[in-house]
Amino acid sequence: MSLEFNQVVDQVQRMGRYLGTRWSSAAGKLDLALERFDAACDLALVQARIDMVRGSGVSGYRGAAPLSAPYAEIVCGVGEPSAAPERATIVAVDGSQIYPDAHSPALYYLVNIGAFIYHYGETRLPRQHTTPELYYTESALEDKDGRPVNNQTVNARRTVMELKALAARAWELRDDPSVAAPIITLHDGGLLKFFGATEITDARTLEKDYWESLEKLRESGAVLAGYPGAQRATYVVSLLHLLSLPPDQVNDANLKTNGDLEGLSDTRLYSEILNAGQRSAVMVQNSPQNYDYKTRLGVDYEIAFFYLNVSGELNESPRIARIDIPMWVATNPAAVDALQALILHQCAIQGRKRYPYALTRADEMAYISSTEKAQIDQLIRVSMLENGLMPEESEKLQTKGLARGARRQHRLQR
Amino acid sequence: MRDSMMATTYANGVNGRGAVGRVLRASTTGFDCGTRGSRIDEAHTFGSFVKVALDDAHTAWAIGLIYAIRIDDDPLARELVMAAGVDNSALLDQRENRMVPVEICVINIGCMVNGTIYHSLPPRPPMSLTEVELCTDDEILRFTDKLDFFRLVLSAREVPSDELLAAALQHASWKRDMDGRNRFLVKCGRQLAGMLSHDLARLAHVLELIRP
Repeated sequence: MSLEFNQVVDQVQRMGRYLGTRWSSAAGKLDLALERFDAACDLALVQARIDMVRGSGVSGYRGAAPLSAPYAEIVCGVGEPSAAPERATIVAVDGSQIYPDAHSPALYYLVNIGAFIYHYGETRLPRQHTTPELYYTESALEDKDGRPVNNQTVNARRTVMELKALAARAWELRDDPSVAAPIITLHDGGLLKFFGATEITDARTLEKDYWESLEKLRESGAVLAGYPGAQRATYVVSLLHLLSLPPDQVNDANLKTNGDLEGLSDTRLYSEILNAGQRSAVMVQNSPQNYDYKTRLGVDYEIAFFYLNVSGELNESPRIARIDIPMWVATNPAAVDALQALILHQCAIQGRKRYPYALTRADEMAYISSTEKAQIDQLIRVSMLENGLMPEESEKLQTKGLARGARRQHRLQR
Repeated sequence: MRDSMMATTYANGVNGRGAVGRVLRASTTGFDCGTRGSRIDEAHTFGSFVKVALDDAHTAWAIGLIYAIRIDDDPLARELVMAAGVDNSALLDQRENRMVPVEICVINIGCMVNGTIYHSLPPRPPMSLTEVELCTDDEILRFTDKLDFFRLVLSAREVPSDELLAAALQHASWKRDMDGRNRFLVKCGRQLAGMLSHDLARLAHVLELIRP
């Protein structure tokens, strides 16, 4: 049966009305949020309130917090863009995958890592690399109890491979005399990763590998940044809500929501605050995961963030992106300035689509199309035949393939 | 000034072995060949004489004229164009790394079998991926010694036939010395006058295009 569009259209229209109402509702909260934002200029007051929620009585605060002194920046402040360094090297890595398919002739998964190296400040051909890895052994495809690994595990393994590749490139370039410092390494996503042991096979090993890559990146001297892009995060809105509560009302029950600011996102808030090129204060997210990074890995590895308006002109609509940085970068003002300027330059390369060019190209290098997947399947079939095996798709998939095939339309005779 | 510049660039193409691309799709009436954007040079000129082998022994060749050169865009290229200024490294990246595909369309106007030139369609099309080359100066001189190929060009559909024929004749004329060039173009004009006597406006247009 095909998708009955006449039934879906009505639902899509209702969805549009719902989103419109939610947007208007958030707009009403914006003035209140801006008022609170403008009042959040006393760093000592903010710090005192953060100390309160970090005390033993409260555990549910997941909002933003300033960095520790002397690196703390005023919450209501904005950072103007600085001049970019004369020369720099930008390394971006991204990954793509073919998930294991129980109905294919042989069980496997494939991860393709794309890397792109851009030399800022010189007219030089960027470098590009791809590294495909095929996984087909039982140890790669099953957990310790013999159950097949799920897609979340493949995603987690791909993420770790991305960071490993980024660290390897950073070390390789560090020793290359033709490469200019600073080396900016860009990861397509947030840096605060959580590998849940209930969903992900070998979660602890993956977490250890991820952290080792972070350590390697730090030791290489690279400036690491994660680029989750536009997010629905409410870290700063949560902080404004916290600051609005009377001290005796600061408890888990009141921190479960953002109160009268509920529904408003940080990107919506900062789209009213940041002019083109400006950034927010550098802050951290108050969470058990981040605390874990700080206590188990070291203070340099707590993950901080700032928001950046990557739009190009003052009259252009704001494009707010969140940039994640580890604390070894956050506590280095020159590195933050260089990162801000270079991300703005990268975003400017693509004109209307404000996204780092190097990440776009790394994604292009990594992407596996459905045609390429079909070719890989064909190669596997040939290889199986060469080894005396008869590859056959499952009856289920073959039957579905028949029904899903291109359908002929009824035509009227002329 | 125009003469000397064109003569130089054309010679450069030949010096570089004149590789144009490789066959993508073909028929007896013509073929399309492809190459990378970074390889596009003087070998890829509207109206150039090209040849492609029809067999492995290279005894039979199709001879054609380049009548269209296409460079497709993609969404990323469209965004780069919209930027305030095109970044030099991104430009290099687009041309060298992203392998912008260039397609060159060729109409067949003759063939060469065991060194003998025929002004008729080749007996069969070239195979996919066969290398397409520019004709040598000697081959162009020999091919244009007779003008029977005019009819194939002028009657070709979906080809800017008047402009194509004029460009090809200009190319062929540059392979001759000054006297030979004038004689060649006058001879071409007479041939055209005979063939287009029923369409004086078209004749005047083509004659204007090949005026020495």
